[in-house]
Amino acid sequence: MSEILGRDKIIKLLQHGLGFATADQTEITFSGSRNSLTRFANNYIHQNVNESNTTIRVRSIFGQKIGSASTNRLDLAALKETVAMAEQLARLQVEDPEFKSLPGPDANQGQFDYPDPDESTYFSDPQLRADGAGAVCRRAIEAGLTAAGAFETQGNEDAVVNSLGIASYYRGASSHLNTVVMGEAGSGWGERLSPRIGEIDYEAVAKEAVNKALRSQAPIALDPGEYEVILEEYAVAEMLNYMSYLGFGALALQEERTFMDLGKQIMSPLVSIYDDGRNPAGIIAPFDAEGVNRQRVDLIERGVAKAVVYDSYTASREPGKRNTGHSSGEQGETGPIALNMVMEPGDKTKDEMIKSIKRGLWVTRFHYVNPLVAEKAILTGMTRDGTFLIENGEITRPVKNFRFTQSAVEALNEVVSLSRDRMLLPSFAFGNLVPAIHCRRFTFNSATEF
Amino acid sequence: MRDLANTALDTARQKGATYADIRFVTDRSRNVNVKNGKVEALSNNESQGFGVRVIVNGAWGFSSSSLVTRAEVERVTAEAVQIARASASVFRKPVQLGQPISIQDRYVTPAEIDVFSVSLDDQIKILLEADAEMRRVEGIRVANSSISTQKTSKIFASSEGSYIEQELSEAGGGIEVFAVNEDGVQKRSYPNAFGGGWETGGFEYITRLNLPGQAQRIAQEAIQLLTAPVCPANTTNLVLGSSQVALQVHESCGHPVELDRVMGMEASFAGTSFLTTEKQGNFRYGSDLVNVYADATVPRGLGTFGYDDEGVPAQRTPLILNGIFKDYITDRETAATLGQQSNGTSRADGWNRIPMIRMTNINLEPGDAGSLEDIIAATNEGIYMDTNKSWSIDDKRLNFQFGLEAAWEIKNGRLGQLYRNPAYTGMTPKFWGSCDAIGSRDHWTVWGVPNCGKGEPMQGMHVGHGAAPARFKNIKIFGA
Repeated sequence: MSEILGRDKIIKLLQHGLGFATADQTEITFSGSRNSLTRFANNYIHQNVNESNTTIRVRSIFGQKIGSASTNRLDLAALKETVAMAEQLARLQVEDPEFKSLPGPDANQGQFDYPDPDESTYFSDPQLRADGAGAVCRRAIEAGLTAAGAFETQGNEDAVVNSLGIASYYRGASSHLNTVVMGEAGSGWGERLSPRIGEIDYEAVAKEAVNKALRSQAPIALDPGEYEVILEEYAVAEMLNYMSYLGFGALALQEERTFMDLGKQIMSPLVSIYDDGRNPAGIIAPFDAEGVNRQRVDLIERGVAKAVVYDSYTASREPGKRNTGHSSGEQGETGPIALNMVMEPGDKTKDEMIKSIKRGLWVTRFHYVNPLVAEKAILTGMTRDGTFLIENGEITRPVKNFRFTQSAVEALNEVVSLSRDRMLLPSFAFGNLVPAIHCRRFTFNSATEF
Repeated sequence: MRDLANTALDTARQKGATYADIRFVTDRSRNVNVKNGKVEALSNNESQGFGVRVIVNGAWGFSSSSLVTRAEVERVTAEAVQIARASASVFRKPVQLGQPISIQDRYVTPAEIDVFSVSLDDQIKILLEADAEMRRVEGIRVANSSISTQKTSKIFASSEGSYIEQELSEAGGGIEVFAVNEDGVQKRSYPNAFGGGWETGGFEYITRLNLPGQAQRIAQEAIQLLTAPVCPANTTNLVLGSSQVALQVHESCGHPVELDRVMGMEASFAGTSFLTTEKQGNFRYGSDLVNVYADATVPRGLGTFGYDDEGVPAQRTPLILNGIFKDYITDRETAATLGQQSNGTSRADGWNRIPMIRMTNINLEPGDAGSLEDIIAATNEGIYMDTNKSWSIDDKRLNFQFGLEAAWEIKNGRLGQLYRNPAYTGMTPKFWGSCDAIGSRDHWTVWGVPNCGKGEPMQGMHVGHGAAPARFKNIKIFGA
């Protein structure tokens, strides 16, 4: 997709597709993307790629039988074939007694206006990305260090129509830069996400990663165990992503495999988390995979498990539940998912948080996180790119990286303060706005050699 | 397609490229998922497009599109050249690819039953039967089952004169159950977790799996796990089922030997490797029993093909011999930096991704310890763990931790107490150094791993691992 197709053309195409349909209900989604990514390593660009793609997905329903098919060809013949294939599959299906209906237009109340995407992000110039990568590499070279990272832009056009009258369209863009800067015995990290490439301050990212790398050299080995910690925004965003995947969706609740004990205090009263796909401070994603507007959902309110997110299917299974517009486009194990989370800030600077700790650890980010016990959100992973010892209110020494095995819920129950500044960082699809947090206890069960 | 390929190669040359290749790829897949007696998903997916890769002024550029027309091929090729020129503004050494390669050939995955010849109706029947068997066991909360079939058509053409066509096919299937009580959720899977088992070939693989035949067993084991004690913490002899040995190979052998990772190309995302180049030929990776090969030729392996995505023939390369590290897996660019030829492991996840070093089938060669039962019988004291539930390893591939679905105490050569939520942890060379028994060839399976992730943008890859059950001494275990 080298050009913008635009609302009218796409909606018309999809509605033309609905004209081919013979099913009781039909949904057609369009995803168009233009992704560009410049990767650098060893202080030079080693990969520079561009991709244009479109995907059309058709869901056909006869009674309570559902089939789906997809193609990435855009011509009418392909659209007709894909509709026919989805219908053929639906006829092969068995009835799903829990399926009620695709969402109708009443699922979308009100009109929302969104800013047009930043065109310089949408059609990013490879030279601009090369300039950003070059700036990071230059700072690393000046400090005698080695940089690796990626500078990415994404432009997308998304649309959903269905035979009940849903017709949603959105065009958005985002840009993301990350870098690890490495010395002989330690590394540092910097990362930014923004809807506008011009807001990615690559000099600041470079400075942050270089300074952290310089401080990380010659780390000491500490015994694993329970430590008081400050988790930087990078670590918090990662933890939140897994909590969303494991427990903030209605399917996990309905299948009794979530830590969300609704109405109960499960985290510190300092912790409030909500999901809002229309938050202008995030990466806007106004509607879900069924074309339903994403509602703001308060997931955790002052530590109390308040609600989970729903799609049309899971909402129809529980009397009185409304579809919150969080369909991931599939049920499977995932179901509806929160992808635009916001954690409320605290009132501390990071310096104030450090000063309050007698002995603890500063953790920049996590690596290779995976759930060990999903229903308790017990996660394991490594620290990476800047782990430091805090002694008597000061960062004193770099520390060799630890493996943690820790319930994310319990970690958030141990929060004693949060930073007042927050960072926008990637979710599994869009962005999370998160502060750094100070936890009384965090469990590290082994260490590595670097 | 030859005309379109020539259009790309000519356009690239005219615009100043010293090397160019184009790949046309069409992926077609069918997926059937059954959950609790309902066909949860029934889908047919198709994706086609092309990607052009060029070297201009010594630097790489890549662009791709789903629109396969002459005008788009010209536009995308010009874009790849423009991107390469931008790359050249921040680079140190011009890319070298080693000796030119010119091959004309066609490869088709051998298959007994074409994967798309079996009706979806018949596939649904298999899964509904397995589903009913799983849910026949009282207390099962969720039963999932799936069959996936896929065909990929590829054409590779390069400015060095190669033109290679490939028709690859594969099939995957599996079942899993979840049981729930006040202590938590327990899961059992067959033949493997996270997508089941996978092979290249035809639908005969799904038939051979006999999913309904294993359904009741895993359901009963999930129920038993609900009331089993949590795995105790200990340091003991650890016996692993072959699917977990395969994942252990994947994480702690397959990824560390990727030469691009060693050279820092993946540092910001997946990480680097402890296996630095001075270790080649002299580093003790494991005990004398440990022999590991990269083998893209092994029949039915999920990482088996005719040619990689740089047009290099599939190969069998020794990586670890008698416990000593011998070689990396390479692509043309990284191999040239060591003065070697590529051993054919450059692979792309579709038309829209650039090829990079990926595992093919990274196989731990069989030993002589017989079957799983033989290894257990020869173990006085220890623990047997089966089927992966969780995996994590540090960014140099040293410190790892795996969670598994189930464990059984071993006492005097017999299985005893069942444990839930078992896990083990270790450091890569020490762990492989403690390997003192590997099962024999008759008990060796090439496991398919359909969810290997690497690169930015993320590229999923289908890879394989030959593995037999194995035993490791003095391993730290615990329960979560």
